[in-house]
Amino acid sequence: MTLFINNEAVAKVLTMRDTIDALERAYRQMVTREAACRPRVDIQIPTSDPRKIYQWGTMEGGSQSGYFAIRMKSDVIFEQEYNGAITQEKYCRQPGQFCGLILLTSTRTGEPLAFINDGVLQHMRVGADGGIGVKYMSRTDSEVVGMLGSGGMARTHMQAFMCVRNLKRLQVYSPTRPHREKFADEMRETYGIEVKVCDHPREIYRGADIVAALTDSAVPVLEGAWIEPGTHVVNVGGGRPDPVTLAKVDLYLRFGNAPAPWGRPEMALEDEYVTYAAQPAGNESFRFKRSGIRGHGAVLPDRMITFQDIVAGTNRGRSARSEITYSERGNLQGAQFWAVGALVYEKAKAAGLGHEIPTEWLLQDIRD
Amino acid sequence: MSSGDPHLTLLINNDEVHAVLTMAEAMAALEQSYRDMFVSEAVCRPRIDIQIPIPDARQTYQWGTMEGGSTRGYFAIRMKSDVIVQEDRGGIPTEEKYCLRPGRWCGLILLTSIETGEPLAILNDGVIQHMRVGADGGIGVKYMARQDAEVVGMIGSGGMARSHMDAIMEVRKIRKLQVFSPTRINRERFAQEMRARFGIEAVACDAPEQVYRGADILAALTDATEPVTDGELVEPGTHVVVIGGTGMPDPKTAAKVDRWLRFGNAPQPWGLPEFGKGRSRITYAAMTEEAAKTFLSPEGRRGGRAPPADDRVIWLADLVAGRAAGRTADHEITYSERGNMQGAQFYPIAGRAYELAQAAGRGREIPTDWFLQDIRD
Repeated sequence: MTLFINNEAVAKVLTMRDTIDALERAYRQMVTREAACRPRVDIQIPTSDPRKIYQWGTMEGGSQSGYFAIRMKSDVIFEQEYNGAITQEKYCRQPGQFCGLILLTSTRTGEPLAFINDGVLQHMRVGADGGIGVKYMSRTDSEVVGMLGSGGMARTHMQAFMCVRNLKRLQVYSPTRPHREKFADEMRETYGIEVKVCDHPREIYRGADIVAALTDSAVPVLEGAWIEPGTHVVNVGGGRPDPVTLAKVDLYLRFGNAPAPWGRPEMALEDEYVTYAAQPAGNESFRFKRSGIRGHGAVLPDRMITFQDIVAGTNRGRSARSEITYSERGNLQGAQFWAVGALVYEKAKAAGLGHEIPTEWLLQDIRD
Repeated sequence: MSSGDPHLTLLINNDEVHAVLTMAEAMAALEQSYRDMFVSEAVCRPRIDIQIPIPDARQTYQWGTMEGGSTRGYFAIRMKSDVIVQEDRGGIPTEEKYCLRPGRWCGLILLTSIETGEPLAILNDGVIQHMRVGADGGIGVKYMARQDAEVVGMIGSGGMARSHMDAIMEVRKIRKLQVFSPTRINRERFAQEMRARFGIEAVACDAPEQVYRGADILAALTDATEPVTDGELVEPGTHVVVIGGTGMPDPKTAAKVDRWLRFGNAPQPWGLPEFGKGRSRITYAAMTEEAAKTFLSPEGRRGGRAPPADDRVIWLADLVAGRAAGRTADHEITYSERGNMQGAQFYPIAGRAYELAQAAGRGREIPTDWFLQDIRD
């Protein structure tokens, strides 16, 4: 039987501790070439509504430990202006619904094991990456987190930070007061830590050992001038760290890059994504923000270390209390879904969760 | 049974595709897709494979995908998930594959709507796979073979041979088939089947050289790993199609070709003009270069094929726009191949099969809600 596993089931079985461990193992396997992934590939096609584009995006990879997974996103995207800021919106079928699916297969038999909705797993894997960055780069005695954002990514990052450091205090800001207050209450309740609700973003930086910007803003939200010596920086979302922050970073951990295709070293890429687009001539006035542009690669190559260095012991991360450090994944997204998907599948199956369809429906007796 | 409920995603199997989709429809859908590619109304990317060793040293997991869509409304990804087995049969290396158990394979097409994003159907790809390859052969014949072509010489008598005959019969008035394949009973059964199906003369040949004599179209449709055509025997005026193995004619045939039609290439991704142009396949492997000597399948190692780099090559885009001529003389030897636009094949054919299956009330339904969620990334 092939399982359909929804977000509710994923939330029941997946812990942050396990997610962090699974991802770390996957990144180490990427270093030893026991695993493979490729960069994200997007396809964009204009819809009949001139303001909207269909966007299909996939990430994939697998490992010798026995699992392969592709993550597929299928949504209609459009841009919206809200209080002068442009945000990217999306939906599948109707507003409020989205399509993100993980198809997990067995590398031992080839069979499709499960389709998994990616919503919960998506937040967990991004949060876990934040935690892995903190584990290797922040001061081991880090106690104070400064946070911009109070949504789903803020929650999973707190979970991840709590797994790897003994945190005592959270300082959080987000633009809507009830959101940040609700989030603060929740964090106090969940972790029994002190939480300061900040009325101005400036306040989250003071005395913070870790600063995490977790918003879906399309422009940078970090303010480099306020970052204090010794801080570790995490940034998730459309806007990259601002130039002042980047200039202050002493050491940058990029987990790694997808390998080059076999026999094609010239096709090694560190781009976050590769986009193929249908661009009919009649549609030239229609341009999204990132239209026609490559995805970014390593931001600070001159101050960069990778998991390769950590595994080999050539550089183990932070070397002084005063250093400002920054971490991000790199284009290894394809290495995340088999690792975490397999965990979810094994636990959901053992717990009897999910809908079943006969695997035979997905197989055939005609060879290509 | 399909109820036509728009909130259900259809699972469509090979029998159902076979029952609803004709070769004529598949060919029309493909030609439209290629024309849309030429004006950027459609898009696709090259095939990407992932290979991962498994504990049995003769076996490798191989995942492969092709994808594309068009402004006409459909997008599709084709996904193959099989274990490749490298075997040595009395000194001849062969490549077998299976999923879950021998005799089963996993090839799936996920069809989506570009207007709403939702998954419309999951189709087994076996019938469509043979039809799309046969249809390409037929499109090549349509544009490059002599108008009065009436004799087909064929090497191979399997599924690809059947779909090529279906396609060639759509575009030329064929009178005679000369077929060879190594197993007598297979070639005789195939000849008999073609006689019955098309009312043509069909001769099962006892030696491969017999298929070339007087043939206007030569089609080599085998899964041999080495070229099976023999350029010595190809006669003037023949149009040549080669499928399987290296996907290329032998060097002698290639040298004799006067006009070489390539349908097209996948476009370049944004900002990466150097990225993979013209190559048909990219493989990422979970192994070191050293381990690849043992584990990487020969298929993965070939890494795609490019047309000859000379002025014999003409492109379908130029042909349909009247900027280039196809065959210019009866005695010319011509050749046709798709290029790396596989990703542009699955959305049009699967889209049409979906419409027909839905209208005919065929397929199994699963709730589309299983594929959707209320959590945004």
